[in-house]
Amino acid sequence: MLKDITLGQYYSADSPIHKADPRIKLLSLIVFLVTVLISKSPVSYLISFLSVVLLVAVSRIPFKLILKNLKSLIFIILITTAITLFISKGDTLLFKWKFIEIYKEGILNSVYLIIRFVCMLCGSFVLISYTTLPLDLTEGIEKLLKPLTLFNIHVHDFAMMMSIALRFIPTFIEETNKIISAQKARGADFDSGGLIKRVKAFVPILIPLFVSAFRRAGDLADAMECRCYNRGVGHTRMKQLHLKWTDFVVLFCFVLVLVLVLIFNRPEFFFI
Amino acid sequence: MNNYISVKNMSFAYRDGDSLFENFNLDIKEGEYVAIIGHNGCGKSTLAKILCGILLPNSGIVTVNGIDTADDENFFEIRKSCGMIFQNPDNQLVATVVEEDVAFAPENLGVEPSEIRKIVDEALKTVGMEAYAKRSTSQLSGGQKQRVAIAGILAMRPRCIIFDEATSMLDPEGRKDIIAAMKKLNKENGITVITITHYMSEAVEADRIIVLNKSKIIGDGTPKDIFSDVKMLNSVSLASPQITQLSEMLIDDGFPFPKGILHTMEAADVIESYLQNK
Repeated sequence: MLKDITLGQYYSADSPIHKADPRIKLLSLIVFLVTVLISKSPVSYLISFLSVVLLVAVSRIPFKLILKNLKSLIFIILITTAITLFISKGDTLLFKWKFIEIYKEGILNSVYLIIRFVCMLCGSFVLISYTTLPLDLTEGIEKLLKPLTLFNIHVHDFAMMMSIALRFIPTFIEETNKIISAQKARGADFDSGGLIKRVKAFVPILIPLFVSAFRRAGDLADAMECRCYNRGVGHTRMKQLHLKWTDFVVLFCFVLVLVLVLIFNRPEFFFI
Repeated sequence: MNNYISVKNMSFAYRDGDSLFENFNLDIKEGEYVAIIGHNGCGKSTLAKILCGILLPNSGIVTVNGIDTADDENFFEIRKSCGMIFQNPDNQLVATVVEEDVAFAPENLGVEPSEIRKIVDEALKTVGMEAYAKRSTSQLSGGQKQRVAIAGILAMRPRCIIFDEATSMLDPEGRKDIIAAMKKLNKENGITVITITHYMSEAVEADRIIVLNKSKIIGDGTPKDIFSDVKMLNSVSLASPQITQLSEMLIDDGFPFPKGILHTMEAADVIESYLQNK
């Protein structure tokens, strides 16, 4: 039942994106999302779109895999696009039937919206989900948010919680399967009845799961204390993150795209 | 030899419960291999937590390597001197990758990265898990997880390790591995091993057995002494190993069997020589 959940979709390959430092990838993603969001002219959109295609090609992740993932989100994309198409008002009316009016601007806006969706989703897939291991990601986030410690925010706690959550996902999946079997053996029925009945049937799974989660948390706290855990005060890491010159090249490429988009956002490039 | 862990006039009660220990005394020498046995609820696990300083006594003094466990300033010193392995292998691994998990303690202690690398490799080698260094912890068997947990404790280079029913959730194969690891740590690395168990076959391997009943020590001696004292064991309804029970029955029937047989092979030798002399 829970086997199908894919956790962390890391796709192992040898590419500059895979090798890049997680901090750089996070920063690049932010730059890229900004780029996509400020794109206005058709040329800027084209640049954003082409850069995503290039990014996927460089990361050596098969286009098929990306398309498969986009397919699962197609519903949301289509609905938002349709709403934009019908709601947008403009100067050039192309089509009118009863209360439905479609303008040229509406069509343009919905095409832009699709490009935005695809760019943002593919960007995050390629830069984070497919090419970064969960542990590197938490490490990257911890390092990037380090300045927040100045404001008395315990960034280490946050990163620790994230990595422990990742560590316990398989354990809890296993546990849930065990509880489901145990409840089935006692005659529980999860597969029939209406929606409400089915949701109710999950209560006897959730309660034992919560109880065991708290017990595990208590045990883990003891075990961590035994191993000198001290909320990251004065701790070191076995694996150090090192910024290489290639990392800066990656970041530079994204900044370059941002600059290009800014240039092509000028009014003279709105030719449609 | 010096006392490594010493408990003097210790009393302990959980916040909302009756007092569990009263005027409890126990000394464990450096390099000893001690098994603590007793029934569920006799206070074994609580005692283990008191010995390594996770729980502090209400009164009395517990010292590890001469340091009072109640001394806040020596928090790291106590953790480093006495490690603990818990019952559930899943609940004590912190990281998703084996070597990252073993590195957890030295990282917390602020050891240099290159030094951590060395410590981790050494610890994994001691428990024979070096081939699994890059594996995901969730793909290991129970016994392997427990060995990784031992490596994680060894990375602090402790002089004493407490095993709190560390084998009770493992299959027979995993249990054998962990018992072998305990023996190796004690005999080859000179680490003081305290194992808390209700498997008599596991207690037999130790040099000294402490029998706990209702938070009191009712027996303390070598496995031979303890398992020969059938009356004491019966009074707390603990059973001696099967082979010891068999030899007691043979003695009762008039066979010239020595007292205090603990291992099957030992009994086999006795029977063999008896048959040859006949």
